Amino acid sequence: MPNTGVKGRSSVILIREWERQMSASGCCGRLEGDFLQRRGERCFPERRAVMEAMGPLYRNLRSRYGNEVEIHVVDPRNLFTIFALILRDARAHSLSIWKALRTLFRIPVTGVVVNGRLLTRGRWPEFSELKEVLGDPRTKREEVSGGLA
Amino acid sequence: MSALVLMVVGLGAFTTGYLLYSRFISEHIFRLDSEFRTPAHVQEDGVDFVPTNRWVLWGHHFTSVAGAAPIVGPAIAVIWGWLPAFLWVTLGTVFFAGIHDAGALWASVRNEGKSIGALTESVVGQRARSLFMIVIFLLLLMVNAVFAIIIAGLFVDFPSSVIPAWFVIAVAITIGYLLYRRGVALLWPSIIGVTLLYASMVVGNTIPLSLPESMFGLGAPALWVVLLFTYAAIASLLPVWLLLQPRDYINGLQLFIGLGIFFLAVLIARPEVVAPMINSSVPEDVPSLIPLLFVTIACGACSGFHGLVSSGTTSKQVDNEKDVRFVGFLGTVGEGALALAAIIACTAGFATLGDWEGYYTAFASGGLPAFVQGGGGILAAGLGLPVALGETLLAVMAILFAATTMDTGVRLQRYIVQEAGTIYNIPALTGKGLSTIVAVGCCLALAFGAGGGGGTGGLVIWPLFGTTNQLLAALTLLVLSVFLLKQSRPSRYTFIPFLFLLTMTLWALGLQLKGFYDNGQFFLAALDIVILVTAIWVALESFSAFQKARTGESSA
Repeated sequence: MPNTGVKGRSSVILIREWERQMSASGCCGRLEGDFLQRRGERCFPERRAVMEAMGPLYRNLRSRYGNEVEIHVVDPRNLFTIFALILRDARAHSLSIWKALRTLFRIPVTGVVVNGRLLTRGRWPEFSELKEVLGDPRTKREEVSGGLA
Repeated sequence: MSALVLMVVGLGAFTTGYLLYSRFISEHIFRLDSEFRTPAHVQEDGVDFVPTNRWVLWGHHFTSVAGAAPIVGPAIAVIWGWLPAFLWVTLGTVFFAGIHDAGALWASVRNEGKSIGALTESVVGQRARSLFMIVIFLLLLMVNAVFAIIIAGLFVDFPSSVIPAWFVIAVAITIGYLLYRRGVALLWPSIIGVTLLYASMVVGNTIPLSLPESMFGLGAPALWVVLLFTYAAIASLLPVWLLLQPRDYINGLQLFIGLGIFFLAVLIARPEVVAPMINSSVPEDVPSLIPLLFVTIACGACSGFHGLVSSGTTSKQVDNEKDVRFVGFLGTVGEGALALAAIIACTAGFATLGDWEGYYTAFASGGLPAFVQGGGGILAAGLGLPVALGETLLAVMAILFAATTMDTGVRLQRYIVQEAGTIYNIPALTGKGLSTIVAVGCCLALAFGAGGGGGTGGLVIWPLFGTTNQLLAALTLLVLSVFLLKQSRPSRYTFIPFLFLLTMTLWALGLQLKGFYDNGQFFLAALDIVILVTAIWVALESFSAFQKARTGESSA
């Protein structure tokens, strides 16, 4: 897993299923890309709706924070990656192992984890909720740098 | 010889291939450029195009391509001895699959994230695109039939797998309801569901279920095939959140658990390989090693389906072009490792050579039973698991993966039939009901056409399936070769694998056609001819495409 780079950099994990089959049934019969919709009908319509609903939140995050905040979009079926990210973020943001485990056992199919803590489950947060948690990343970095000096 | 040697040498080959060959290809052929703005950045929308950390992306990609699919091919192919299968899996993964998968990913990244189907049209031509669609349809047709036959065979040989395989449907539906309608946290239903599944294996061992040997004029395997397609038809009509999606979570956990304990058992037990290195006493009906080896093992050595995954979704998430090497090449290594596990299970899980030979008495007959019983023996020796329970675990693992594929496959085939109804103005085919019946009917016809009313011997279509899968891989390699040629880059590293796969495909189809005709299997002979014509068409398109590319190069 990559380092967070700048110490204290916030990390947002957007958990939602990709519109694809990840069933570990192997590659046979696995059609992707253009084949995910036929006759205008999506193969995974509910997943598609969730992906599209997350779009504005993601774009707002990018627009407001750029690379100041690390953003990961992870499919919940990619369990080991989610575990690794949450444990890494918990350590980076001084969360106890119990709190990290609590987050792990509460992660939903759709939700947001910020700095190792579960922010929302089953819904996308309003952007204002995220801003409240993330704060101003530039201010946070200055505080950390000041502390190190 | 200890199976550990196979494991270490195989994994070592994959590692070396990744460190050396993939680096060479990435630097000198694909010339991956960290400054190149990938589609994930150019078209970043937070929906389809999302720059994704390479570890996360590899996890997505690997979970999509890896599974139990590479079990069947190696399980059948070791009838020629362990060495040919081992060499094809290791060398195929490094020199064919790696460049195929990473190449499809790279070509898509360089072309706005277009899928390989769209690239086929733009790089080779409209006819090639039609060809591509025909190959896809044939593959879907065969994958459903083949997997139904595989599952039916496992139900007959391992009746202890019946209860858990059907019980999982109730588990999946419950998980689906809890996750998607009640918003329950992910981990608990998944862990409990998998635990219940394993508990049901104990029940299955205690109460093995079998169908009558004959009913309505059909043998037990044939009856299972009918039941399975009935299930797949119903499952394909249900909303995906109710059954198909929850199966994702169960299967994913199962895969890691199953493989984890298997490799651990191999490390502890260090079983001896009893199968011959090269089998000098193959049964009479076994076709020639070359070319059949290369179409019997597709997934696990080189699989055309991977190109669809690479260029379908993964390419839209590549953050930095340099990640193509990591995601593309390492994704193939994962599947190669699974194929390696299958080879070990089928060659080292028996006490004596005689025991092993008892399974491989005819082509395609002993594969999966050998995998299940050999693997069960290794689990018993390494972890102390009761042999019967270990066998049930492996059989159920293979069944669940195959059944999920059937659900998706029938669903997609229905879509294709409905689309054909729209294009050719046949309103009756545009509805869900009749189109599902048509889709399932085609697959049933193939399954029975292959195995007859008794439903036995149906795995003879496995090489046909592998051939078509290799044809898809060859098409992708052709697209890559033409793409490289148009950019004045060396194309031999993709062209030689393309030529090899096309040659083996044509050769295998010719041999099999003769066999089907001699045995009076005219249905399969007809299917073989269709695939053969498609393969010849691929050859003609390739020459045309290369001529045009070279002429264009000369003009430049």
